[in-house]
Amino acid sequence: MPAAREREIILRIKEGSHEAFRELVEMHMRQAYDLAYGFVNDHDDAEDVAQEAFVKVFHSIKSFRGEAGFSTWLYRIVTNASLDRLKQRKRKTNRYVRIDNPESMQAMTSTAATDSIDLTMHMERALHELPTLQRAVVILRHIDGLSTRTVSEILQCSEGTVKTHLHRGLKKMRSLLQFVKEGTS
Amino acid sequence: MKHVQDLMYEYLQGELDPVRAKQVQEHIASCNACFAELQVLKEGALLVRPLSRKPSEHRSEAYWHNFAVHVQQRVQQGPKKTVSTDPVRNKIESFLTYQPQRVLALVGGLAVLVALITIAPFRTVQEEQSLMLTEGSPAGGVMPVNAELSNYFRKSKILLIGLTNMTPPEGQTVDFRAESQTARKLIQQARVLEDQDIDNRSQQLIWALEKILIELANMEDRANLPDVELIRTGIRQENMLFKIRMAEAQQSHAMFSTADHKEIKQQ
Repeated sequence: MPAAREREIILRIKEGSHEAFRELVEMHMRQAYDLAYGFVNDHDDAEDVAQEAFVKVFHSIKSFRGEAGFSTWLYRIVTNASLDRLKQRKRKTNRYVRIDNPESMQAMTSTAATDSIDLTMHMERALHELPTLQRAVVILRHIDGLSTRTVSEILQCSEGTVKTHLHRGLKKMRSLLQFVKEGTS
Repeated sequence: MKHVQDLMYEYLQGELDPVRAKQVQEHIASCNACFAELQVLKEGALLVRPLSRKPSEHRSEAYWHNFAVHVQQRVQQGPKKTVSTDPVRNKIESFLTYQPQRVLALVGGLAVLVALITIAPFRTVQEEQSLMLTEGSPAGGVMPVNAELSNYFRKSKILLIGLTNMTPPEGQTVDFRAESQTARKLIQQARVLEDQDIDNRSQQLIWALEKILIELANMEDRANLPDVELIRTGIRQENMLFKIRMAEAQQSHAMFSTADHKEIKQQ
């Protein structure tokens, strides 16, 4: 969408227009949801985090000065909300199958469904094996295709840190998903 | 030229300018360590590709239509409460926040007990299913909102129980047309209810149910075991059947209270 139109909408929201806010939500809701899902790996949590992020946008829109793009600002809010959610449910992490556990890996590869391996499911699980920052960088930079600079602005770290985490994250993904590659080759 | 690890990803993605890309290429051709590193990174990047399918595509248009509405409702509810400095209050809030299952179980147990003592409306699922087939809104009349809510919750419960008890043979598909159709009707009923003055808890439950009903409504005519299992997991994780029973008890209690009140007034 044109930047001028977005600026106009943001201005109207600052003046208290709920209609303009709704328009802004509708423009970015899928983007916010996808990003949140990348972190929390659960549809209900993704919905809650994305909605929470928009509520925060509404309440703090006056502090948005437009130095960075709105998307970058929104991404930062969604990322922070997602990381908070992950902290809150840290105690529940056991519900995910740890795929670096040889037994669980064997279970996944020896089922009757091996012929139609759900690659996406394995990717998502592997992604959630990465440390939080590596995961954030892989999602933002590699999956969402944002530039190194934008990712560094969202995560408020240096571009060098983004590059390092991306490199390590993709290498770890490769080692976690080696069995998928072997299974399909 | 020193090792090019920092530029490898941009190189793989074709994001470097031609001069820089050539420098990286020349370095990789003469450096075994960087060549090996590039292969590893390339494989990692390729393996992650299938994730580019967007999770939002799993949601229906109806879901996205409601998304903005729900955000606005949350905005109107106002920002979250700040943390109190009162230790006793904090302890109570912490219990309510971090042990919701215990709180729910406690409240639920009490409410069920009260409902059983005062109402005791025992119906088997089969009886309810037969009722569901024959009974709808009263013909030509407007059902009171509590009765309408009870009707909605009961139908939803029967649908979910049927789904939970379903045992599709592995590897075979199941005809889901009837369930999808019922789910669509219930979504319509929910839309009507949402426009009426209903209590917050019922509203929350309707939204929670809506997610499951939308999934059901969008299901293929013939579904297989993993699809069914996905919805069942949602029902279990959300503890939907328990929540519906609680809401039913609440609605029944409200209806009986209203009836009693009318009776007293008539006397």
